[in-house]
Amino acid sequence: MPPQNSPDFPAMALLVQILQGDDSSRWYQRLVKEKELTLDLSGGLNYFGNEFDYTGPMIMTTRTTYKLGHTADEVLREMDAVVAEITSKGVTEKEIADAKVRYRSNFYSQLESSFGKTHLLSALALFRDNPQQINSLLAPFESVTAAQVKAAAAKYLVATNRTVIDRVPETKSEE
Amino acid sequence: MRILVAIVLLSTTILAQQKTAPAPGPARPLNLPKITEKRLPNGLTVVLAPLPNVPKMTSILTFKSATTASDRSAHPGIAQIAASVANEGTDTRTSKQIKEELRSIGGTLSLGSDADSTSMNASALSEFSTTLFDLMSDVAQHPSFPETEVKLAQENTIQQIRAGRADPGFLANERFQKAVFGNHPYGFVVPDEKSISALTQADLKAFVSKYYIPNAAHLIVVGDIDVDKTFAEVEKAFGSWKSGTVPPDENPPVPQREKRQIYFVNRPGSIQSAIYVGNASIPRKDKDYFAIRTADTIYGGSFYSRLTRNIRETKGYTYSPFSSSNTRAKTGSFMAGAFVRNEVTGPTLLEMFYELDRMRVLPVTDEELSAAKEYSTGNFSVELASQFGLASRINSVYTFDLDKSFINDFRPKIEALTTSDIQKAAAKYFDTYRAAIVIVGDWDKVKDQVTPFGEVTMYDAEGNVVTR
Repeated sequence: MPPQNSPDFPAMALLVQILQGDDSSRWYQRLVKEKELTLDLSGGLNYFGNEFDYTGPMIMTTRTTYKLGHTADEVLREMDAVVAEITSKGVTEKEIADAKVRYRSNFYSQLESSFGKTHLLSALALFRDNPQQINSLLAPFESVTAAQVKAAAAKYLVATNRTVIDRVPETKSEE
Repeated sequence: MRILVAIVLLSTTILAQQKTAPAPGPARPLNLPKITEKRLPNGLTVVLAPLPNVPKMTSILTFKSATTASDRSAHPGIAQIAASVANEGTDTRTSKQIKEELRSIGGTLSLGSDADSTSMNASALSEFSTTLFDLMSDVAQHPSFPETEVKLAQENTIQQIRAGRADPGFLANERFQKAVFGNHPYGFVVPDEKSISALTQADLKAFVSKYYIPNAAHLIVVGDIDVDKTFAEVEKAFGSWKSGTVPPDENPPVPQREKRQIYFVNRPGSIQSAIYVGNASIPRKDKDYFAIRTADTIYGGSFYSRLTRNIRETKGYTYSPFSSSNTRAKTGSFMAGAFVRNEVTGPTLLEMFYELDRMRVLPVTDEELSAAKEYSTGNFSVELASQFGLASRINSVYTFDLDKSFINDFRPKIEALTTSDIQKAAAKYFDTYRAAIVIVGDWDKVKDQVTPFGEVTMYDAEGNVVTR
């Protein structure tokens, strides 16, 4: 993923929303609903945290459980096809507007509990020496354009920049 | 929204050097929002509470008649499947349209059902409240249960149940509920595969029109809202919802247990035993609710509990033992549990019963009681600080017909408890004499350790009684 201070970062964060932010997202719809290949799909940029509570390099993660009788290759083929659609045709204005709303809504949810708010303040104090940033974190995400999202997909979501783990349980011997 | 930030670096440095934690200060007053109750002509109860901590809102719509018991003889498990598919399409919206509309308001909307109700939980940025109510109302009244979505839910549910049957925790819980509640709907955990596969679109539609009715429902709205404006929006979205006939209560009485008994789910090859011990307890409305809840916190319901200190800290039998007091509309259960290696299955039962009986025979210490009170009241305050937390608490007041002052009374009622109240509740409800003991494990490996504790009935993973 681009570094947090890169101009590509907010576009990438919104692209993550569009690909896998919720049940309307492109990967979820393709894999779970249209192709019925997988049972679920979840993930994110800094999957176990958020866009702000880390420093240094970061990955985007996607986790999905494919159904019996299917393969990881089929899943990857569909995921790649979705990315290819974005790198060639881009995303719609509606998608980008919705992604911003979704992003803002998630951000507020994080600030709702005192723990969530304290956590974010402490991360900003620790990593950026500037907890005041909590008041302006959303701004860069609000100005992202569809063209920037398309460019981010082409730049970062490439096969050479990816690791795939296909976990298959051992077949149980009959008791 | 502005968030004020105040950081005092100096005090942070001083705190870092201090060796012991400072004593907690006195409890600060709870500043609860004003809660307003209204009713629509169709019978829908509407409860509104402003909590503008963030510019969002949370809403819970609860159908009190759509329970595990509803339509259970003809279609076991129908409430669960209806809840999981209801938001996958309405007469005028496809599944994808619903998800996209939710995305455009930063919203969520999902349903879940249990033994006492079905609830729709929803949230959004509060600027989009009308869209959220519109979606909720549509899903409540006109779910279309598209064939493909029903099939998908049936397949996925069957997969999940199969996965559950390979999980000792799932098996122990299922057997425990059946041991304690018998054939009462509270003993129902999951339907069999045949019942799930048999459900049709028509069954689900009929279920919803009979049980999702406004005159047996309540709508809770919490968040950055204006009460009058929000109520007008609710009226507009839910006003035309037609009331129905409230179905009769289909819950029979809970069976009484006469003696202590072991229910053993045999899983040859297990290296651990999953142990659940407990009994039926009280309905949610019972006056002993606060005492049994606090007794549970001291026994095994918190990390500082007796069970944790004994079998985790001192003896090292298990990583995280637990206990819980689950109270429902008609009755509840108290349960203690642990996952332990085969060799210490018997010794774990011994300590579980020892700690239960100790609470029945001797008073807890003042120190234990005050720690448990602080734990409960502190968690309660944290819970109420979030929109969903407050909405859930209000929802339970209406689902279980609790006193309207329940939320305000919570802290004083917990604080008034004495060590004698705790002992009395333990003596009454930690009924070791008639306890149900559920063990999921390898019978051959642990039988000599467990048979001294009671008569044994043995089951397989599918729930069939098997001979030893």
